[in-house]
Parts: sequence; C-alpha cells; structure tokens
Amino acid sequence: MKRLYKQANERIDRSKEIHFSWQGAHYTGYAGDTLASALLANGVKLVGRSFKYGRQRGIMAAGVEEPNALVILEPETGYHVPNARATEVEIYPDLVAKAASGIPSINEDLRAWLKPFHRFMAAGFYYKTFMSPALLWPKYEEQLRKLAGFATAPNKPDAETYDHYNQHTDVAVIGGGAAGLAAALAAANAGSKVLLLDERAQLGGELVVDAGRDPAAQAWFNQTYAALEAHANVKILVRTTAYALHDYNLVLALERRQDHVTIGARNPHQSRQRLHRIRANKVVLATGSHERPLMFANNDLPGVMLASAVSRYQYEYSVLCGSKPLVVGNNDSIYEVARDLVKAGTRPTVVDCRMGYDASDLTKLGVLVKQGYTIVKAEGRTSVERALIAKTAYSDSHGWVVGDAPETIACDLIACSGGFSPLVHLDCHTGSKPWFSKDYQAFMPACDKPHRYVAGSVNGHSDWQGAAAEGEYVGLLAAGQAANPVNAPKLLNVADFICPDVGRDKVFLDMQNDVKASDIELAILENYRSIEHIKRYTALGFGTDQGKTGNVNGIAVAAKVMNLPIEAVGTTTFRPMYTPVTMGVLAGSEIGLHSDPQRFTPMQASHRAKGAEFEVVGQWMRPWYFPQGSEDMHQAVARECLAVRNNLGMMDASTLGKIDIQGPDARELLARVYTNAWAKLAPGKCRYGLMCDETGMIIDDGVTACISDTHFLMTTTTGGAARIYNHLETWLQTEWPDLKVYITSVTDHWSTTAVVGPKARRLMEKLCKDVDCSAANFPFMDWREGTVCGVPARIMRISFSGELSYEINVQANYGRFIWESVMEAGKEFNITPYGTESMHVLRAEKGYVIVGQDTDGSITPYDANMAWAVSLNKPYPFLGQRALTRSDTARPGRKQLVGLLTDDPHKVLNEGCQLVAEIGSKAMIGHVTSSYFSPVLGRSIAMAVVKGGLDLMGTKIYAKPLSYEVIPLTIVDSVFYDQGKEKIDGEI
Amino acid sequence: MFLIHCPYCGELRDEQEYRYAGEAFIQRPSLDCTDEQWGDYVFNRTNPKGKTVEQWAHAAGCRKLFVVERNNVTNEIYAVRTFESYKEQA
Amino acid sequence: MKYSWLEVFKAGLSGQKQWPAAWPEVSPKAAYDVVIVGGGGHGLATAYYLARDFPGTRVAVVEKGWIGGGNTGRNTTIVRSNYLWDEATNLYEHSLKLWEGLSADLNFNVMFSQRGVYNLGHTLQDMRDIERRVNANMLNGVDAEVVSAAELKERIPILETGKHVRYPVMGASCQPRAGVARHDAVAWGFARAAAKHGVDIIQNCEVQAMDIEAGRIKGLQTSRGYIKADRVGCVTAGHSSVLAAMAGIRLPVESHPLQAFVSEPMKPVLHTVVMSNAVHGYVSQSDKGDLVIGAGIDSYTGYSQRGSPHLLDHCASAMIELFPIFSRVRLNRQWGGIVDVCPDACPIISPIPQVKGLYFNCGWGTGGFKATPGSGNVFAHTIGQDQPHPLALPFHIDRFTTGALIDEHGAAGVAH
Repeated sequence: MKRLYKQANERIDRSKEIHFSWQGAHYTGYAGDTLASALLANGVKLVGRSFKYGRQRGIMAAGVEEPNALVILEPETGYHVPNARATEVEIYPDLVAKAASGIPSINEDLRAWLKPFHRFMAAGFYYKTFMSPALLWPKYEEQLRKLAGFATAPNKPDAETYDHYNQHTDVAVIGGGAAGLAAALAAANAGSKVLLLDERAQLGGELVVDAGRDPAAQAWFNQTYAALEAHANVKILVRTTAYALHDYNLVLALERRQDHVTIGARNPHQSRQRLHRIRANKVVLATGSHERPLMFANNDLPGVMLASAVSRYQYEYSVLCGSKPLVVGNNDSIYEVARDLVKAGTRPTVVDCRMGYDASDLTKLGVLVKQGYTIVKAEGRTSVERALIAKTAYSDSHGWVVGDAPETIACDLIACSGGFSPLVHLDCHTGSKPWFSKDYQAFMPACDKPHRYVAGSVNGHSDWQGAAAEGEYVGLLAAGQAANPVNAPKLLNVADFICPDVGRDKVFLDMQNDVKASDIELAILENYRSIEHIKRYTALGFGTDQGKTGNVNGIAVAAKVMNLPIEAVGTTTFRPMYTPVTMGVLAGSEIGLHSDPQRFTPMQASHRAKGAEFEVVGQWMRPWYFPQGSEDMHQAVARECLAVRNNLGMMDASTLGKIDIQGPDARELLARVYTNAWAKLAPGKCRYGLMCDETGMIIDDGVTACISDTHFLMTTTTGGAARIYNHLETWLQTEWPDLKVYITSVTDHWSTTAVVGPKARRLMEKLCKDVDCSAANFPFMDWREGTVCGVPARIMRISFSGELSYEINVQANYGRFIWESVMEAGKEFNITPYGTESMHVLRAEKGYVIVGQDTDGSITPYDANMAWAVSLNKPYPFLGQRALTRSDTARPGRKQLVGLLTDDPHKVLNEGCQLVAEIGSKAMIGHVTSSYFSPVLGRSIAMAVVKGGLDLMGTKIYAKPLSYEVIPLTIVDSVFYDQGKEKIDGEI
Repeated sequence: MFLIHCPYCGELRDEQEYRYAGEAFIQRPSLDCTDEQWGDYVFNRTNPKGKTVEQWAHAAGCRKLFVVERNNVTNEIYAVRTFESYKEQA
Repeated sequence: MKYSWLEVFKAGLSGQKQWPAAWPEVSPKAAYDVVIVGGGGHGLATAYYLARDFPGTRVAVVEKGWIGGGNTGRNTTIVRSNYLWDEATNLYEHSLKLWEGLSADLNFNVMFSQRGVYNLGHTLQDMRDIERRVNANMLNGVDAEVVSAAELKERIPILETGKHVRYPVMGASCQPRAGVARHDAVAWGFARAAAKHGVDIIQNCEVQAMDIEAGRIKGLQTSRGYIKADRVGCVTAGHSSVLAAMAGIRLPVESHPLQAFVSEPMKPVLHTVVMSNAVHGYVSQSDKGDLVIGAGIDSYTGYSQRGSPHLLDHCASAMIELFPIFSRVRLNRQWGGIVDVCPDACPIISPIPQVKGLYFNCGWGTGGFKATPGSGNVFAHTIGQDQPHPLALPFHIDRFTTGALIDEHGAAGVAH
C-alpha cells in the first residue's frame, strides 16, 4: 500500500501534513484523509480483532458500512469516542486513536489462542451450555462479558455540548451524490426551498470515483455544485447523517460540527454535534448503495476489501490498496475497478464467475482475466498472500456450482464485489417493506409513502448520468412541476449470489459478529427458519454496522439452505438509527438543570437569602425548611412549628394550583366535580372540596372561594394543577358542553403569602387597613377583597394548620414585595418563615390529609374518613358517585385512614412502614402514610391506612419496619391536636 | 410522530403541542346502571387496530378538545373534526 | 436430545450436523383440547406448563408470525418481583422463583443474570414509596433493601449522585435477586420444552375468527384452516383487544407504543440494572456489551410498533442525568413494541365470563417479560382446571366490575 502520485481530483491537501497517533505510534497523513485512508497509506493492515474468534481484521470499506475498523478516539479523556469507524473519522492534528478491539491487543488476542475450541463455539452454543451447576452461571457470565464488547466506555463526563435545530423545508434531499445533487438543483430551480444533506465532509458521493474515470463527471459535479452553492433556495449540510425518517416526513439528522477539528482548536461555545429535526414537505432519498463482499473462505483476512472501496481510496485519497491486486466478482463493476488499478500502475488479475464480458481492453494490457471462475479461499498469515480460485458453472435449477480443483493466484489485495445493496433504510423506517429485484439481485426501496421519492443508485442506477437524470426528474416532481419520465435504470449486470458450499468453515457473512455461513445452516437445521430467528440466533446484523455488508448475503445463504427464493426469506426490519447516534445529541441542551424546567415562586430570591433548603415538588422548587445557624432539619422544623403554634409564622403557598372558573354554570361545575355540596356557598365564602374520578377514588382536594355567583377560584394540589385542569376541561368540552362556564389556569398569576399563628390578626391589622380582620367580621372560611401594603389583594381565612391564618393573594409580581413586607412588619412578633416540612407536621397534627401521600389511588372519601364531604343528594351525581357502591368499593374492612400513636412517644415511625395485627404476623393490614415528631405535643404522631381501621379505635397493632424492630402502637383518631378547634380564631 | 391540524387554530402543528384524551364518544350510563355497566363504561375500551376515533386537546394552543380519526397503524389522519360537527351530522 | 457440554463437544467434532430441530415444524391438526393464541413467551410458557402438568391434554400454540416476535423479543429483559401489593408481589415472586430454575428446567440457557435491580428515588415521596414497598417486600419474603445515595455511589460508581442536578438521587430500593435474561432464549426454550411434551407450535398461523356457539368456544378460524378447540387461551400482548373483538367483547386495556434502544457494544461498565421512574428511563448492559435502555410509552394508542422520537430524546436526557459518562456513547438501534395497558397497571389472567372455554392473559403493560414463567404457569392451571389459580384469582377480569383494583402505579406522586 502506498500513496500514489497526485490523482486528478484527489481530495487530500498535500500541503497540510497531519500527525496523529495510532496504537501509540506516530503517523502522518494529509488533510482530507480519513483515519482509514491514512492508515492504509501508511501500510497499516491490521486494525482490529473480531468479536468471537479474535481474528485479525483489516479495513474493508471506505464508508460507514465498514464492519471491522472500530476505533476509540481520544481515549480516557472528555473527548473519548467509543467504536468510531476509521472510515468515518476525518483526521486532525494530534488525533489519538486506538483499536476498539483486541484482548489484550490487536497484535495478540486471547480469543485467537482459543482457536482449537472455535469449532465448539458455533452459533448459539451458549444456549446449550453453562446451565449446570446453576451456581456457576454468574462466573461464566462474568468471563463471557469480559470477552464481549468492543471499546471501553468513556470514563469522564463529556467535555462538549450538543444542541437541537428545528427546521422546515419544501424538499429535503438526502444524499449528495449525482442523483441528490441533480434533485436538489432541479427542485431549487423550480422554486422550492431545498435542504441537501450528506454524511461526508464533501458532496459528490460516488462521483469522486466517476470523476477519476471520466472528466465529464467532474465537470458536471463542479458545475452543479457551484450552482447549488450560489442558489438562494438551497441550504447544504455536510457531515450530516439523516439517521431516521419518521411519519409525516420528519427527518432526523445528526450534524458533526466539530469532530474534524483538533481538540485544542474546538470552539467551546459551539456544539459538538447538532440534531436537526427537519419537517419536509417532500423527501428525496438519494441515499445510494453499498457494495456486498463475496462469500469465500477466510474472506475476513486483512487485504480483502470491497472493490468499490479500492477505487474510492485511489481517487479520493490517492491511496493504492495493493500492488498485486486480485479483482473478483459477479458483476460488471469489477472491470472498472481493474481499469482503475491498471491506471494506478498495477497489473491486476480479474476473476469473474460469469462468461462473456468483453474485457479485451484489459487483456491487451496484459491483465489476466479469468472468466467462469470465482474465488474460494483467501490465504495468508497476517494478510492476503494468495487466493484460490475455482471454475464455476451456472444452472437455473442449482444456481452456481463451484469446482473443487482450485488454482492459486498470488496477490496482496482481494478487491471483491458481490453486487450492491441499495440503502433502503430510511424508506423502511415508517413501515415500508423493500422488494427483491431478481434482475439486480438486491432489495429495492418500496417508496410507497406519500411525498417521498427515490433516485439514483438506491433505485438501481449504475451510471452517474442515469442517476443524475433521475435526480433531476424527482427534483422537479418534488417541487410540484411536471417532468418527463426518465429511462429505466441502467442496472448493473449482476449474477446470482454465489453461496459457498454450506459447512465450509470460516466463510464470514457478518464480520463484526463473526457470523459464518455455517452458522446460518446450523440455525436452519435447528428450525430457526424465520429470518428474524436466524438473525437473533446467529447475531447476524446485530453489530454496529447493522449488517450493512453482511445481511443480504446472509439472506441469500438462508434462501439456498431452505431452497426458497430470496424474496420468500425477506429481510429483517430496518430500524433507526441508520448509523450510530451519540446519546448526548439526542438530549441536546436538555441536560442538567435544563433537563426539566424548574419552577420558582416570585419569592424565590427571598427564600434563598434566608438560607432555605429546597424540596423538589413536581417541577416546583419549594422551601423545605429555613435552618438557622447550625440547625439540622429536625431542629429547624421544631422551631418553625412551635412558632406557628405559639406565635406567628409565614409560608409561601404560591405553588398551589389555581383555576379561575367563570360563567352562569360555574357552581354547577363545582357540584359535579367535587363530592360535596356547593349550592349554598355565598360570595365571600370559601369551602374545602374533595375530588374523585369515575372510579370513586380521591384524585385531588383544595379550597374554592366564591367570588360571585358566576365566579369561583379553585385551588388544587401543587402536583395536581395541570392534571386537574385537564380533567375539568375534558369533562366540560366532551360530556358537558351545555354548561356555560369557562375555566382558565391562573396558578402563575397569583402569589400567596400565608400568615399563620395566634398573632396573625395583629400583623394583618398592621398591613391591611381596609379589611376588618376581627373574628366576628372576618370568620374562618371567608375571604375578603382589600389592600395589603397598598397592593390589591384577596385575603382568605383558610388554614392548613388549624391556627388562625390569612392567606394573602396578590398579583404574582407583587409577591416578593408582600412577602418581604410581611417579614418586615412581623419582626415585632418574631415572625418565622416555615417550609413544606413544618407545613406537613402542622397539618398532620390536625389530621389533614395530603392527597398523594395519605391517599394513593385506592382510597375513597369514605376510606379517608371524610364522609362529611360526600353529598349523595345532588341533582347531578358527582363524578365517581356511582363507583362508591360497587361491591368491593362498598365492602366493610377496606383500608381506612386513622391516626397512630406509638407506645414509645419518642419513636418516630418511617413513612411507608408496614403494619401488622399481631406481633408474630407478617400479614400486612396497612401502612404509615405520614409520620412526624410533633413539637407541640412533645411526641410522635402518625397517620396510616389500616384495614377496617375506623372500627378499631384504641386497638393495639404493630409496625414492622425494615429495621426488624416490632413497634407497638395504638389506633387513634387522626386529629391529634386541638380537637375542639379552639385555636382557629387565634388570640382574641 | 405526527402533525395534527387544529380545527380551531387552523394550523398544522406537531403532535407534542397536543394531549391525547382517550377514545371519543364513550357513553356515560346513568346512576342506576349495574356494576357491570359502570365497569364497562369506566374501564373497557374498543381499542381497535386501524381506524380510531379519539379525542385530542390542543394543550399548548387553544386548549380545545376535538376529534381525530386516525389510523393507529400507519398514523395517517383521516379527519380532524369538532364535536359540534358530529352533532350537526347526527 | 438433552443439551449439554457433551453434546456441544460432539457437535464440534462432527461439524455441528447432529442437532435436532429445537421444535418441529408442524401443520395444525383438526382439533385440540387447548389452543393457545400467541407464540410469545407467555403463550409458550402456558403451553409448556399445560402439557407438563396436565398430561394427555392436546395443546397447540398458534402464532401469527414467528415465535417470540412480539414483546418477548422487544423488551429490555428486566426481571424482578419487588411490587407493592401482596397480590402482585406473590405473582411476580412466584415467577422469579421459576426463573431461578428455568434454565435447568427447560434445558435451555436463558441466561438469567441475577445482577440486582435498583429503583431510584428522587423526591421525598419517592422515598416514602420505596420505604413502603421495600417494607412490604420484606414481610412478603421478597429480598429488598433501601439503599442510601452514598451507598449507591459505592455500588455503582458511574451513577451521578450529586446534589446539583435537576432531580438529585436521594436513594433507591434494591432487589438483589432481580436481574435480566436473554429474551429470545426464553421463547425458544419454552417452545422447545413444550414441543418435547407434545405441544404443536404452529407459526405463520393467524387467527381470523372465533367460532362461538351458545356462549361457548368451539374453535378458531385461522389462516391455516379451521382448528377445533375446547378451550382457547389468548396471550397476544398488544393485540388483546383485536382478539377480544373476535369474541364480541371489550377489554379494559389500551395498546400503546413503547420504545427502547441499545448502544454500541462496550466493555463491561454497568453491572446491575438501574431504573428511574422520575426521570423516565431504565438501563442495563447486555452480556454482549450493549447498553439496553427503555423509554416511556406514548400517550396515544398505536399498533405501529414505532413511537414518537421525542420520547427517546427525553430518555437520553434522563440517562445522561444518571450517568454523565454515557453522553458520548453512541446509540445503535431503536425499536418499538405494542403494550396493552390496564387501568391499574396489573395484568388480567382470567376466564372470560361471557364465553365458556375462553381465557385471556393480557394487560401486562410495560413489564410482562419478568412474569413470563409465572404467568404461563398460573394461566396453564387456570385453563387446565377451568378455575383461576389462587395466584391468578386477584387478576380476574371481574375486578373491573367490583372495583377490587390492584393499583400498582404506586402513589400518585401528588403533593401540596
């Protein structure tokens, strides 16, 4: 292998030498080289070891179909890329790359030493072994796992970033070869907005090879490319792989924006890769095709390459892949490759299984052309040294029969071609099935979805002129223009598959997974006959190359073994991704704190300044507690709770969901969605409501204020706001469109500062002059409109603690002002801000439930001991009412909400702790839903759901927590504090 | 991943703007129905393969619910209609 | 033939020529005692246990495509039994115990790997639910523990347990006996074992109609002819409603797309299974080295076996939250399955009251794989004895009439 003299249209820049590291040694290439071309130019043949047998592997292809040359880039850094293909890596200065395989290295592989055992390691052997003794399987598995896998995983966080880009276009053209270029230009000229995507660094596709052979191709490319570059309607994205095509022409494409840039020069403010979500009115698939290798013994030996790749390396990178090449195949394309190799100064041998192709131009030049022969085996120690070829004969009944008297041909390169497989992947992502063309011996795109076109070699065109003509045609169609149909594709003359005699060892189909032809035979022998079973049993096509070179050969072998036509065997399903996609680019910038929006109340800055710890509640960040000095949570909570009980506290209640309900039927809506009665709630009053769904289970609760007869303000739980809004909207619009009522979510419109404690009235009287806050004139469960610190407010006398409480609701942007004003005015009362933890303790002391904590989707209002909130006599039965009388829902002995007191007052149960009736029992009768140490009571309290609990007051039961203790406790009423409700009016 | 034409906003928008709201035209029985009838109404669904008639809400838009007739194998949308249009038809 | 080292050795010497069919290719007979519709893991397991435990019963499995081609071959292979409610725990634990002896029982290595499963908690309510569930597991005799964030970091060093992420990890539940298995092998292993007991496994055989007379099943019209059957068990996850419609009934299930993806294979880096409901994703590393990652279901119904891509984006984001080093790992392949979801996130294993001789096993939602042997076992007994197996009784379809649902959604996650 060597670098040739300058080829006419080579795409390397010889003025820019690039130094890089491979396997710890230093090499030099040129700008424009891929890692693969640079390694080939440096004579590196061995690049990997195979998955199962540890066989030596070399570079086989020049594109993303490469199965062997898996590498790690920038190992053990924040730029580590596992399993990149050398053929897709553009080299950059100081690139560090190493092989992704080899145990311990590609030079010496443990798995290769196991060669005497390989005969026992046929497909699926592990299903038949390692079973006994069962205890040893974990040991076996550990060793098997160590042998498997390719690259090591990154061990550092990603040093780079990703983003997403949404765009719309009239026509998305996928593939920048002759067909794609022509399609893009035709569509653009016809007035369409065009987006042209190509996975390589430069457009042209296989034209780079055509250009090497035919100056007209280069001229056409130059002209077309210039026209596209200059065209206002055209946007070109190179280094961009369309990896999925979804319904409604959603193209997902991965753009590699910096992977080709030397690490130190990468722009830290630019994403490494970008996910383009492209909505295209029309999609043109000009995706091309991949060559298939031939099937012969040792066809995985380094030096066996795809014939088209050999030409590509020659023209694009000026790399000659072998000095003594053998070109072998079953189709006409091999002669072009042979001519290329002659031009490069070699004298190839051509082996064609068919007869009749006029190769006189080559024979005149002294090229040995063996027609009616094919290769049966490659030989060589570390790479190809010779090939064995044998005579072929074809009959319609038996297909190819290969003679058994091989001749030997010395060679250092075997360029083989078994035909071409159109890249139907994207076409199949939305469920289309490819069809098999006997003429072309390939699976062709169905292209049966609307607004989609295919053109070029994906459609069977073998010449660039034909591809370009078809591209132009579909480009016009995609732009909505009339166009004259083009000629049928000039299909390459491809002979039937030559499947090796089954049973011959080491004929590889899937190089990456070491799947051999004999493995297919074995699978079928064992009745794994569906192609999906064959795939899964042998692992055919499961590699990182997704079987791009191997699958169709495997299907052909299966067809031969089962004596079925290839189309009856069919393909496995083509799924995204077409080529592997970085996990980071899917996430884009939605990582870390941006992975989900964080919601804060308007008072956030004050809370932070006060040193609050925060609790995650849905998307909200709520103050959990406000530690002072070195307080831990328990100390802080005790202080906060006692302040509320004895003095004055304040809490940010802004996160509660708020739904504004207006219309003549607003009251009727409330009556239907809440279990309790609403007919008599007067303006100025508030009421607690309990909400069930149609299963009769509690889904939400909250206080609703009557603003006027036609206007109510509902509050929901913090986590339930969106769900309840949707619930109401769905019922209104589907079942009750006759109700004259509108609802709107106003959660973010209001902020709520709750002033809580015996001294609350004194503070309110300081801040609010236009509302009479006396107990007589502003009783519990009333609300008033007034002015607080000059800000218009709705003040609600509702309480989640049993203490005197005023909740000051103001327009959200006054929230922080009110909060801080209350804090300031409260100084004289030593006002204490408190968080959700204290709120939980205070409400539990009063036995108030938290929906979602004390209830879990299996609790009815009766189970929650809230029969008082159920009105069965409403004209329109509330949602879920009917469900409450179902046999299981109405049965006695259901789990019911009760209070628990531990015998040891200092023992605080864990929330979630399970309960049993007898010391020795394991039969659970319920569990603890809420549990705290109550500072005001000086003891622990808990709420629980217990089977038949409401009839078991005073009964001793036991908690059996994870600590294996047995904790005796007594079932009590769930109101632990101020049963007489004497505190609700505060200091009189 | 499909696009839905909101009959109220009049625009073709990405599926992510919408909220799926279940099978359409489920009949709610009266309170004197049997437990079987109630269970059938609350839980049982036709869940057909092929054409579905389902409710969607334009959650990030006008918040209106409407009916989408969709093929749930191919994701082709046959029709997007308001509830009113079905009433008029009946 | 009994699979063994010796047979593998002999096959190696003879060029792999002596293996018999894992299960024979057969055509449907005219009549069977029991026909199982659906050749996935659950259906094949049902057939196996029926044939094994009710000798003399003529059993066939009819499969529309190829066996194991539905959710059996599309799932992320997690096996665990740490459920919340007694009824579910008992069923899944029964299954887990069967898993523990399954390779030996079937004489087929299903590669059941008990590498533990961690369910992460990210909020106080998550941790309450974990405490409740683990405590219940303990009393139900299921191995489970609560693990602190610090302990998690010790056990899974690549897991991000820091405080400065969107949803910091507060702790986890762990079931050490839980793990993963090789999904295809489960279908094949049960098929082979069932065939050994005389079950006919009939692929490419689609049921087109049910022959029901006077409220009793008589047989099935299939793409391969009429098959008479005294009893029919439908185990067609995803397509249960389609089969039910043939019997003129509706089921409390809806079919949704569920997606998963795998990365390129890498050297072992994750030695257990990590699940997070809060950030939506679960991951393990297969023996081959791929990260196997599951996402959430699409909200809409679908039979397309493909879901919406934004769910995968969200799942990738979740994975990177949990494992920052996975950011540069490349994903290789994605796919979708169709799951039939029950309102209470529990399955239906039940005779159908309206049609004598007809049974359904469905509604497993996103988590049916783990139940494969247990589900087949109790369903086989339900069909074989024509009365629900005690472990299957709570999963009777009547619960949607009585209201005795088994809410395994866990707590609703609502808070003030």
